[in-house]
Amino acid sequence: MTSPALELRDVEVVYERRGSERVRAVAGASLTVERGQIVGLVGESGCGKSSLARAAVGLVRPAGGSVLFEGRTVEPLTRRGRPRDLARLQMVFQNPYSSLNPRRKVGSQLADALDALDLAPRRGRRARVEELLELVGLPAAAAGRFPHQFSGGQRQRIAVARALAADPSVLVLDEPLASLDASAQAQLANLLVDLSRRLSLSLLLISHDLAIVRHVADVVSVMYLGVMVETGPTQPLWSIPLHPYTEALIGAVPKPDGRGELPDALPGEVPDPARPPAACRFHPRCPYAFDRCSREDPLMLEVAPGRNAACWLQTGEDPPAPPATRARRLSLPRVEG
Amino acid sequence: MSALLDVEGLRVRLPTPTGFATIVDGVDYQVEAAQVFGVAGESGSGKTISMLALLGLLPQGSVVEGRASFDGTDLLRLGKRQLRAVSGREIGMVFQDPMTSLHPMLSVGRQLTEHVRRHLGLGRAAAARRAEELLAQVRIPDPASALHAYPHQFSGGMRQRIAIAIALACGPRLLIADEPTTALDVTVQAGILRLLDRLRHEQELSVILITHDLAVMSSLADRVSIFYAGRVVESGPRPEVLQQPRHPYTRALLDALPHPEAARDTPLVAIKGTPPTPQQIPPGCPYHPRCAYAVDVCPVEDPPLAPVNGRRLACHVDPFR
Amino acid sequence: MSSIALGTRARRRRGHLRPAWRQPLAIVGAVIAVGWLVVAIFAPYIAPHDPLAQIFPPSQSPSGAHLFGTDELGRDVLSRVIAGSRVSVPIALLLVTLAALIGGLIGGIAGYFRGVADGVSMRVVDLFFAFPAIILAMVVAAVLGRGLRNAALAIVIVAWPSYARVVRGLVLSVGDSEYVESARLLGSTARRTLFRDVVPNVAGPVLVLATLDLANAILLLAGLSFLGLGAQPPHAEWGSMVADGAQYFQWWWIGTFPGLAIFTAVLAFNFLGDSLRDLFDPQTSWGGGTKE
Repeated sequence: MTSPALELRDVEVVYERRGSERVRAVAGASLTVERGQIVGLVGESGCGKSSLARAAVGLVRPAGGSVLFEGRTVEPLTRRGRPRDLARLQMVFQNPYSSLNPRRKVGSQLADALDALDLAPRRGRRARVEELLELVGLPAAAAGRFPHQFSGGQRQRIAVARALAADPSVLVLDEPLASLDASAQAQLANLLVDLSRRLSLSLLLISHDLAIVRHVADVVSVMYLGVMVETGPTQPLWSIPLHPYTEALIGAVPKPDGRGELPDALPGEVPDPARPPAACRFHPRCPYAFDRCSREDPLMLEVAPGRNAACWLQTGEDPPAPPATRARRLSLPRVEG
Repeated sequence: MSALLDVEGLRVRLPTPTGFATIVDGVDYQVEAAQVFGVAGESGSGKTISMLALLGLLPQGSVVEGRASFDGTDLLRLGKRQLRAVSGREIGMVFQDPMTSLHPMLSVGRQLTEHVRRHLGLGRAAAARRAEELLAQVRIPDPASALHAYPHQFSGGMRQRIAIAIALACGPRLLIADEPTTALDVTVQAGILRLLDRLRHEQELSVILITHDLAVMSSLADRVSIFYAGRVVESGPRPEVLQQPRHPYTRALLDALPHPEAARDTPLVAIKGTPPTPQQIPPGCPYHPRCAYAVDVCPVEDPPLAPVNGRRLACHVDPFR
Repeated sequence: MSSIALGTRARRRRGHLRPAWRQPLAIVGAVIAVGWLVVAIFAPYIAPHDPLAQIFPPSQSPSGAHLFGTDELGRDVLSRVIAGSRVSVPIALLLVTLAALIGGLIGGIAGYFRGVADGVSMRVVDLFFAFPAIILAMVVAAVLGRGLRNAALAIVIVAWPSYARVVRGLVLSVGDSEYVESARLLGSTARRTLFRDVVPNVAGPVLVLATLDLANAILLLAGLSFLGLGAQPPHAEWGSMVADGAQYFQWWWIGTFPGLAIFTAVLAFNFLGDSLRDLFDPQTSWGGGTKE
């Protein structure tokens, strides 16, 4: 069996805050992207998804755990060049205004990978750059212009084209849609799905926009305060969320259906990642928390084939059921506060 | 019952190095008491500028025409001082980024009391009590200590609640919220939307909710209006406009959103082209170059916003009748 | 706010406000600067008389024969001003280039290698910044002895720290930027990104700084000479000529014309530097193309 396109096992990312406080932005998270799959990683601010993305491509060294690209360990970037066989693992950044050099023409930046990896003969470079621009729906003339002459959505597509120049098999995208308006978001989302299907490209799409992720991803992973809380195929996860946080997240998304229903709010605030709650990190805000939740950190359990959740409500014995149902069945006493 | 705010023929032109740019070109709408009025549109549609015009917050040299009758008084005809008195006491405003709308160097309590003392003339102790009340109303935990804290010590959602408290300090009847939840996480956004809903009921407050996010508007607004290129293209009761949109732009905006029921892998429908800049507004109906239903009269004549079956529509074609 | 953004966009699109009122100044500055350079190069051919020859009637006011008059020793002031340009302008150019190279190299090493190299070099830079430039220059020149060569050395010593700081800051921020990170991910080596991404972003600001610094160098050189630490008599140098003129106030032409020379040269390079800043910013209409 071939190894997955990208695999993160118990990854930990630590950084030092001012005052030499060590913060575990990612505290042991695992995630798998199979070949040709689109995995959506969702979570709110402070959950560590960006740090995880950076660790996944080697921009930052994990403090624990391992990252495997097509079975091979991903080494962090050093001053020497990146190992050649990692070239097919690429990243698209969130901010289209800072991920392109404002003083270089677009065509020159697209050709970076071609130069560094020797992917096209000198003469063929121009043609390849035009091909890449066409792939993302931009005119060939764009190569001669500067980034500031394009809109945010177009710049993001240029960034995607730049990553595609390396002929990647896995593309990690850190909130690529965040700074775009609705129309540009739709265009970019369509493009990503299209590229993934056409080029058999595996995507790890990080986003806080659940609606788009739901539309685009095959598998969704939900992250909270540095840990993964649930993973599963998109449709079943949406209809029957297994983790209370997933349920809260889904309930908080407003619907444009004109019915005037307010989304569900989640009480409390995200704790400081430097001082996470004991045991289950979500328990202070969880409507179903019981005594075990504050004593033992729940393990990620395969509740059903392909569906994992880290919650003491889920035991894996019965077919997947949402937290409310599970709590009732287990007739648990609620913990106050 | 006459509306709390009645805007008619609002036109705003801003000075630019190359002459005036018409940002708002004839906007009409009414906001009733205790009603949430949603204003939706993409960036550059004039939705923010039209609100700033009401409060006299436009840059020097701007030209404003039309009428904005707030409880009988035309805001656009008031002198600077009178406008400040009215807007300070009767109208509150909340912006998108609480970090830049709150003063970073003043304590939360100070920002609240300052406002209250200036407009209501309360003494120090009374103002402090009122400040604490306001923080409790917006559900800030431990309001007494929060008074002494500074904005940077709070999370984004909390800061937005503080901004709302400041906006409501003098008990205004109208709150203008410009993209109040755009910068917030979805669960935090849900909290703010519920807060606004509760305040609206508890305090008989009218809210103008400006947003580009139709889902947000759908969950909170009673009536909605859709802005495009500086004018209103459709307005009416929220369920009707969002469930049976009649203007092609409204329909296109809704179609661009991911649909929960849609099969995955069907592409999202993006609207062709981009909204025009004020210098490049097409003749006739400004939406016609991007419209799938345009006919001959569309590039020629600008359709007026006319009442049609309980809502108002600016379209020659009305294709989804 | 969108109105302000609209204004800025309109400005940039037409290239109106910013480059519009800067452009005429750029041209004026360039013309004057080039003018002085030409004068400096062709000085021996342009000067009507030998700047050192004390053969004319002394202290003559400006006239047809002597456009700038003669000084107290009977030398033609015009010829001396022209000869002075040979000292001020090209030497200032040389000094600034040297300072930029030395400072840039040190700053670049600090920013690229970080760690100890960075710490040590920046503390040295801090040390130099602790002294006001003119004082430091005076001290160095006084210690080394009078003369043009030592004054020049003093100026280089005083000028290089600015470049070190600017280049270090730029190398650090560009090195951390996302576009460099993505270039590294695409396989570019650190050295390659240094030349493709870092240097182009560094060159512009350094050039601007250097051009403005030229003005400072001219002024500093003149100042040192004025104090007697730079060019020694009978050398024709603008600063010492002004010093002379200060002694003989009643013969105003002796000090005024060299003073005007300093003034116009310094102003010209300031205008030029400001416009270069706009030229290097790809976002102004004449720096790289207009927004669509």
